[in-house]
Amino acid sequence: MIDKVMTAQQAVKKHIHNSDTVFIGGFGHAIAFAIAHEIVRQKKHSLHLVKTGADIVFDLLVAGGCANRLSCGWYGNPGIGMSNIISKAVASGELALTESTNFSMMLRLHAGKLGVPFIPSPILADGDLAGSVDGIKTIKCPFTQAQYQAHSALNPDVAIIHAQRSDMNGNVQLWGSVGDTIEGCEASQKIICSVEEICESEEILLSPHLTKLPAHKVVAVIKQPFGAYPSYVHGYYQRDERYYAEHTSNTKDSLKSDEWLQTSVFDHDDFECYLNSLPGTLLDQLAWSKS
Amino acid sequence: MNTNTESSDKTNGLEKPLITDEIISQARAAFMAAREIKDHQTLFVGIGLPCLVAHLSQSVLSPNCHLVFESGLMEVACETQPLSTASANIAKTAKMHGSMLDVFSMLQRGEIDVGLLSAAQIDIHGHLNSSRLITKSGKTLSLPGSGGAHDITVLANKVIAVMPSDPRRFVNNVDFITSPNSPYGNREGVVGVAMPDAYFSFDTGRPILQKIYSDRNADAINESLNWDSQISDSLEIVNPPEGDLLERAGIFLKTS
Repeated sequence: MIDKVMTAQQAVKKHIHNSDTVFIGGFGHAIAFAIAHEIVRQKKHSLHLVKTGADIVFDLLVAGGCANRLSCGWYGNPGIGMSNIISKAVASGELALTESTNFSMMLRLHAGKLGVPFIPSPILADGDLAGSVDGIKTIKCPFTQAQYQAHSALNPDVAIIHAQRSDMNGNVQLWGSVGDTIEGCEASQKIICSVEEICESEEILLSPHLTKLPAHKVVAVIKQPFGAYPSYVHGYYQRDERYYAEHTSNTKDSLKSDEWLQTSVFDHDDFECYLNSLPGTLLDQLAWSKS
Repeated sequence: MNTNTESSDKTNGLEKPLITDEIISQARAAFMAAREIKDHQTLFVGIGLPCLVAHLSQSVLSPNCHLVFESGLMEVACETQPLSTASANIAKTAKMHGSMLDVFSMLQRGEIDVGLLSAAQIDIHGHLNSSRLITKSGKTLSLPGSGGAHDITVLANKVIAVMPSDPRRFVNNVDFITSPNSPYGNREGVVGVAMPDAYFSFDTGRPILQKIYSDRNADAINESLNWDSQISDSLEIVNPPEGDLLERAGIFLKTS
């Protein structure tokens, strides 16, 4: 069995290339922050980021100058506000934004997963988003002649995700709210995964129904406890609500964003150092509670 | 169905929330929408005011309704305000963790009775805008975008919008049609909009002031908004939420 365990530094260096199309895993839950930090630290650039709802991890990648294109159904700080960083990058022309809808992004990734060129759906036939989205064309149903929109397949070069655990071979177990993660991973050519724990394959055999990603596509397994911080991991830790609440004001202008990027990423050699820089008892306070 | 006694048990150890004007305003809008839900219906719930509608429906008015969130969470007990559709508080009370594809597929198959949505603007055609606003000086103000709003509007069997009572949100034509009121097949589309003073239906394809709280004046509300609406000949007078309902809303919003 191949041992795919490596550091985030090695994984990003080896498996993410400038101009790649990258799917970022985690929809509100288990967001791949640790790997995203490393992408910023290595100053990858010209990435095309693909997502349904783009959470604040996208601010990190855009502020870090890693992306020149974003295709998504939504972007911002959930329940709190707009992304100042993305709005500004779009306005200045640094970032090309293709806005569609969450279901359309899901259908496009699902078409990619199925290995078919498109999936028909009635969405995006009307309204101001219709016609403005690349990858969508009107087609006629060959059976009924009714009109549908063809949502073209997306096959990202690489998916980066965070999950609860994996064995060293990349049998990744993920549970809780999975959002778009599995479709995104299966549509992608390869998967880089950070996990809370690395376990023995024998342990995976006790709960193979929790293994959600096929090991043959997993190219790197990174052991990184709290690797989804400040988001949450079901059964492991809660979200840092204060971080999200303060994020919009912490990134309200370029000066603040640069400072945020410096203190979260560039001041540290790796994600573990960043976690160590957080106030002493913070991570303990985020301990998972059942209610 | 929960009783008042259970509700006060729930507040054990918690400070009783101060019922602010903001809580009252949100509760009034949410209650107006929740009255439109029938028991046993399946609801696709957006973030913000729709969550309070879901909470009041589930805990008081329609205790057997089924709640679905776009993240893939199903059979959720919506007891505290979630900030996102995948928040841990609702993931912990969900009896099924599906994927986004699972729940959007349900929507597309026609299994969602009611979609509950908020938006930055709604217009007389029932179109919703959550993408961008054009300011008076012609400047464009970006908003987070559709998310699932477009999909819900087109695919739910009916959609009820729920909005704060800001006149600028009710317009003749939205600045950007994110979610067109062009339902798929024989679905009904946006059937109405609830706000803290009243409920407008779109039965005739244009907004009709259909229901109003007993402490509001129909002419005044109709004229206060920036859109051309009419008052129904059969206007229904509704008593505003008070007591237990306001307290529930207060606890729900406070624990976010």
